Amino acid sequence: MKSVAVVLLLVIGASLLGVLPFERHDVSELQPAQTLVVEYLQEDQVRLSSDGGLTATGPDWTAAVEQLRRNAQGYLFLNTAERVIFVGRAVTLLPQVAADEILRPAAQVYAVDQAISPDGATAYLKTRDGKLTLGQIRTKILEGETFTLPQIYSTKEGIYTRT
Amino acid sequence: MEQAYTPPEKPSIPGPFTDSAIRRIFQFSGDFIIRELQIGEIRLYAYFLDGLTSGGDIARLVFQPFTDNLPQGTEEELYQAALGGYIYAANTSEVMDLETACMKLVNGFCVVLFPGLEKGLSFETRTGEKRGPSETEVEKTAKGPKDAFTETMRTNTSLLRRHLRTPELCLEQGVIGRKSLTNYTVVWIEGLTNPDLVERVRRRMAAIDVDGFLTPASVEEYLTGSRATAFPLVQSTERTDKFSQGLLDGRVGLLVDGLPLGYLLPVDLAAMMTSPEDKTVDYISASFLKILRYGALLVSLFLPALYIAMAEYHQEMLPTGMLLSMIESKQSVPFPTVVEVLGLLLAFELLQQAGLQLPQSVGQTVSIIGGLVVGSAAVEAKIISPAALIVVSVAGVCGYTLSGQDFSGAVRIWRFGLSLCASVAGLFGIVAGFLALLIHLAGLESMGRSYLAPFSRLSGGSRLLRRRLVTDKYRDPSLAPEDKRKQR
Repeated sequence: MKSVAVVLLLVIGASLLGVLPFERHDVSELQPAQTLVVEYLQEDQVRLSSDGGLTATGPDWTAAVEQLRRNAQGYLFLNTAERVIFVGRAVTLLPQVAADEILRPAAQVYAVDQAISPDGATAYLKTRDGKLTLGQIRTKILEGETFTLPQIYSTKEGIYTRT
Repeated sequence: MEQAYTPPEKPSIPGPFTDSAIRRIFQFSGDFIIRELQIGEIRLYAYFLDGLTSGGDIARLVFQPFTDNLPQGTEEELYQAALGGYIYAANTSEVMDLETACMKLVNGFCVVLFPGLEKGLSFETRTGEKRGPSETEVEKTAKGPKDAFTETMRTNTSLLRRHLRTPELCLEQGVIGRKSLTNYTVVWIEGLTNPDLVERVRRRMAAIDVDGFLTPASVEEYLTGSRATAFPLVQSTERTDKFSQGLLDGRVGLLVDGLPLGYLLPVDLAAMMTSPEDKTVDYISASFLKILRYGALLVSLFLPALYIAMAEYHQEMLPTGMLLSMIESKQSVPFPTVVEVLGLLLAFELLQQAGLQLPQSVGQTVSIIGGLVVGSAAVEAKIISPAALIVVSVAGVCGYTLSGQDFSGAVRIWRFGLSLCASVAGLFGIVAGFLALLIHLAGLESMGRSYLAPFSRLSGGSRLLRRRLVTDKYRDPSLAPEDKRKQR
């Protein structure tokens, strides 16, 4: 029993000293994002918007993400993001986004010419499988391969995608 | 290593067997009856305890032959005649001292004192008032035998003799407890069981020097020594067939008067995961059930802890759909996941205790109201989330698939511990808790046998699956049986 107590005390000690490589956030505090739209504003500010009406801007991707976290009511959980949509020239941020580990590698990536509502895109894309994921893009970038993002088209009649 | 021990002081009532001595000992016993028997010129005294003995049997088998059959003569001639067969009682023995007289009396004998000789005779005249063998209540099977042990040791030994008719079945009887004077029987099969094991059990029993030996916990704790563990180091069973099978496997049994259980030693984890059902179905079904039981053990131990770890620390490991549904269901719940799960585990234990304390019909009602009605009402009121309720219920149900109640009790305690570990340090905490559990189990021994022996090839190999009976020719070598082969 002494050895058991020692092991358990070590665990508690490690947790209290904060040496564990993960943080505690109860699931009830999480504010999940399913779709993330990345765009450039005219004054070279990165704007992020997620479903649920959350938006943030910042001078670059990292700052915008930080701002998005601050704007969230709970703990913004980007690991649930299943889709990342790049608007217009925001595609240039793709290498940085692909290298950032805050999003799931399985998140599907799309490009769109005009600004699009994350909620509308979520409703449409929920029933479709994207052809390219963030993980695949990361691989292609590292291997120097060229690739084309699946394109979303937004019209008056609705939105549609084309690879 | 076994510590050296000094033989305990046995309950002792010194002095010669005289009428005044025995009257003094039982002077405050309302059930103590004295009857004087006049045989010619000689006056004898008969003693018995009302309730323990049958008055009719005493009158018919002892008093009547004493007055009708015994020839006139000296007290010594009367004594020899009574001992020689004039008295009808089947079990007759000499009583040479006061202590033996008292022991006989409290065990349902009628004792007749020959005052001039300061010795007497005892005649077995126990009452037939005892609970007969009934159906098993805890360890039920669909196809196996139904007879269960009772509180009367002699009934239990007779049940055992019906299962194992070999004359090599040894039933060594003893008395334990200074005040309770509880009878016990060490059971083994001569020529089969490892004699060292028998000797070890004998020594342990002889070393116990307590006032009372009345409860299952006293058997388990005193017999196994100081046990700083929740895991049972003695296997208790109410099933006579399981007990008999244990003896045939080369284990030593123990029956204690007053307890409707048989105890088997040594025990290991595999024995705890074996159900009597395994021997009533074919080996494929039995092996499947065993695997299922091991799976249930893991689920019962780890599921609440894993849920806490996932919900508190490692949300990224969950599929998105599941996580979203968990987040949605938790939005209105006021408690953090760890409080929710630990609270539910506690409520589960309380419900179980309430069910045990109440009569069976009321207990079932309490379980239904507590489990179903309060559970679903709590979910609807958003006090707990449905996921937490499902997790705790699944873990609880899986715990019930384990055959031993003691073992499943230990699993429940460790489930709490692992859940706390998970709440402190997520998966890291669970792994640490699991390692602590492994260290703990690896350090446990039952009569010198490691608790994890079945998982070690060095200790005799795996007994995790049920083997085909026709090819399973040898007994477990780690028990070192004298007769290693159990069939041709």
